[in-house]
Amino acid sequence: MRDTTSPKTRVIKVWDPVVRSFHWLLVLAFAGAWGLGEWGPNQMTWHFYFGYVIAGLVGVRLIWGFVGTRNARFTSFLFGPGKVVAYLRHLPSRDPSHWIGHNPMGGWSVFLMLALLIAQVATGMMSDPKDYINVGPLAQYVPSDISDLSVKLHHILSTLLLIVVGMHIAAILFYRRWKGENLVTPMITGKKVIEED
Amino acid sequence: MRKTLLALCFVLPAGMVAAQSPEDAVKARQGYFDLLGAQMAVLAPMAQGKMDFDAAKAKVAADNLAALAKVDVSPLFVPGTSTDDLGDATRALPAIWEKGDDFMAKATAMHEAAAAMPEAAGSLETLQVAVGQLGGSCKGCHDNFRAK
Repeated sequence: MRDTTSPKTRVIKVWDPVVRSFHWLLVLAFAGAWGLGEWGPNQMTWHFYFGYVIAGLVGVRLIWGFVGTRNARFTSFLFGPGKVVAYLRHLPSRDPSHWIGHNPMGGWSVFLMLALLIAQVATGMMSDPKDYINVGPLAQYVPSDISDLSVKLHHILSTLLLIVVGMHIAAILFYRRWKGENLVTPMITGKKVIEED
Repeated sequence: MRKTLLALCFVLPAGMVAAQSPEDAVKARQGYFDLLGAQMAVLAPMAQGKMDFDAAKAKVAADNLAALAKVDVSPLFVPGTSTDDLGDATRALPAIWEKGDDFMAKATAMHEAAAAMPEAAGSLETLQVAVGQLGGSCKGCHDNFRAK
């Protein structure tokens, strides 16, 4: 139930510029890499470039996860199953979560997305699709059954990534429509309006 | 090498008639693509600067590709030799037989790109473009007709 008396609100900085830049650059790079992989020209030079950008972005994010601002650090959104279940129990309520940073569920989706992206970059770099022009830069250093398997995994992972991105967007829409909570603006401005208890 | 390949042009089709068992057909067409690959293994590293450009070597490999492209391997794609029939023994997807016209179009693209190789092998600049075209035709077909 929403309180009818006007609640006290305050504006809090939730996402630092590194997190925000990372997020939106990743959106662009992922869209580019995915689109080029699926519909791009047969000479995949630009797909490779977008992949390298993603590798760099994920690399920076991994470092920032240890040395960054509070909400960017992995330790701030690594929650045990108890916390996740407790959070999920409140999820159906029609109130904004007013969570600062990644909530227990969102935290795990970040870990999942980062893990999938690392796997996707790794398999892409080790792929040898036997066309002699789109061979990953690391393919020559791994056995041929690994470079073969990498091509297969790279395709499977691309579908998994698309599903996870779809779930990410669905969750944002759910918070917006059902819980009346805007998650997009904070990722742009860095600031979130929080109700105080 | 060129003479061997030239001989192959006559021997392969004869072999194809004899190649009745599905396993033989698979073996023969995999051998064909291995031969294509062996030429690309010479040209691609040159085009990508991983190996010094050697006009003589490039010419041999390019001529081989053009000769190989003239071999009609369609008799090797015997019905009943897809991944559905033979499992891991082949990577030829059923789409080859289901979308025969599309498959032939991809093969034609490869033939045209390969036919352009001998002329392009004269200089590194033209070789790079031609290798890109030919490699692209490999991918164009692998995308839909070769199991990942």
